[in-house]
Amino acid sequence: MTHEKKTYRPLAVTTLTTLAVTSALLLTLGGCATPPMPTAQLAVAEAAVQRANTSSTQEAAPAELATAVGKLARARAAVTAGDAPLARRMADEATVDAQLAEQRAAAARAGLAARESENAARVLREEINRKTVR
Amino acid sequence: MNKTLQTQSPTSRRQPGFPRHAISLLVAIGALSTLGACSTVPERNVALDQAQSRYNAAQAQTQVTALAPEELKRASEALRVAEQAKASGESPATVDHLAYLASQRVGIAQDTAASRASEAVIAGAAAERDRMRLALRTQEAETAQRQLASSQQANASTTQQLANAQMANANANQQLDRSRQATASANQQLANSQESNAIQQAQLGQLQSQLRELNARKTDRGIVVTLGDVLFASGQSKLQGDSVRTMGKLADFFKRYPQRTATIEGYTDSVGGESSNQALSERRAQAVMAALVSQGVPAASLRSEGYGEARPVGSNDSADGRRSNRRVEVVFAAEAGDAMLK
Repeated sequence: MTHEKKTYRPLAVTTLTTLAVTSALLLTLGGCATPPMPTAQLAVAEAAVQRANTSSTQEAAPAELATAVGKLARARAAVTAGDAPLARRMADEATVDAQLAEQRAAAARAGLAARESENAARVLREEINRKTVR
Repeated sequence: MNKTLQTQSPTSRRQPGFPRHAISLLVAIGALSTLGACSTVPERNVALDQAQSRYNAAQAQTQVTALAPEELKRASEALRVAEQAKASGESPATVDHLAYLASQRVGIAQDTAASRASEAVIAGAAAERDRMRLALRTQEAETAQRQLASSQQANASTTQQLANAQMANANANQQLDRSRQATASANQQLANSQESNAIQQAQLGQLQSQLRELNARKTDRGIVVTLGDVLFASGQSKLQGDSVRTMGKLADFFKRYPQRTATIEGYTDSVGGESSNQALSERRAQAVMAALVSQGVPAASLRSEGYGEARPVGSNDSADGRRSNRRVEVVFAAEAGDAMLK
């Protein structure tokens, strides 16, 4: 008899333990059910803004850069506030805004360079014409 | 129906001009349309509309479709995601957000296309500049080559002229040398001839003085030195006292002019027989010749001849005449230069 009792006790303990683990697991899962913070998207946004935030972009596309920087700040604020969906939206928007700012500055620079290049070609053509006439 | 009527009543009261059935029809249509909108036509999303129109505008630009196809495709995908979110009834905030992302992607595509277009312009301009620079360099090179060629030509002709001038100079120098040589040799000849002339003059002078001492005279036969009868006693062929000295002078003369030859001619007066006179004249001539040979005159340059009573120089009728006829004449063969003797 005592033998049987001895074997029963551990069984009850096991059941209890299993219950506790399961409930803990469920609790954890419940925590997971609330949307996680968009850490990866935030990192991407940080990198994109940092990449775009150069003196030449500041000069050529200041409004677009300011938008991107502002969105990134709002994403950080949303993380602090625990608003994961807003944080993710702001991070994604900051990323695209940064890319647009960068691209717009590049376009402005290229446009300027193209005009200078055309001017240089025109000057050279005029010089050659003068020389040929001479 | 009842409900509808109840709600309609206040309106009908406020607008009494409207017929009742018309109002109810309008309300029914309005209700139907509202219901239909709720079930089939979702409400518009301004941000999505904007994104769509932006995308359409970008797609209409050939610069964007040609130069930024990848970026335009990403914009298109973003737009589709937004449209799907709208269709599946996502929250307006989510649709707004996705539409915003799509709009920004359209902007990125357009800016990328603009950048690439500008880069193409830069590259084209650079190529154009290179082409023009090349043309300029080619032109300059051709000009330089032409100038080089003409200067080389000029150089060549200068060199040719220089060579010609040098040749002419060389010829002139040669001629100068030749004329100098000619002058020198002419001078030499002149000097020689002057010298020989002087020598000749000196010799002639000496000859003349010696001949004068010997009382020589120039005749057609040559220079004749007459040895008077004082040298010989009448009828004798032996030389008398003074004769040795006279012979000495003659011998000297021969030594000085060894090339001279002379004929020694003996003459007599008409006293005595003709044949004896002939023999006497021969003996006298031989005596003079022997005397000269004995004094060192080579016998080869002497010849003796007797003429007897022939060629008298004076009258045989007087003693003076006969004395002058008794004589030996040493006749020197005429030589060039003797003409200058007086």
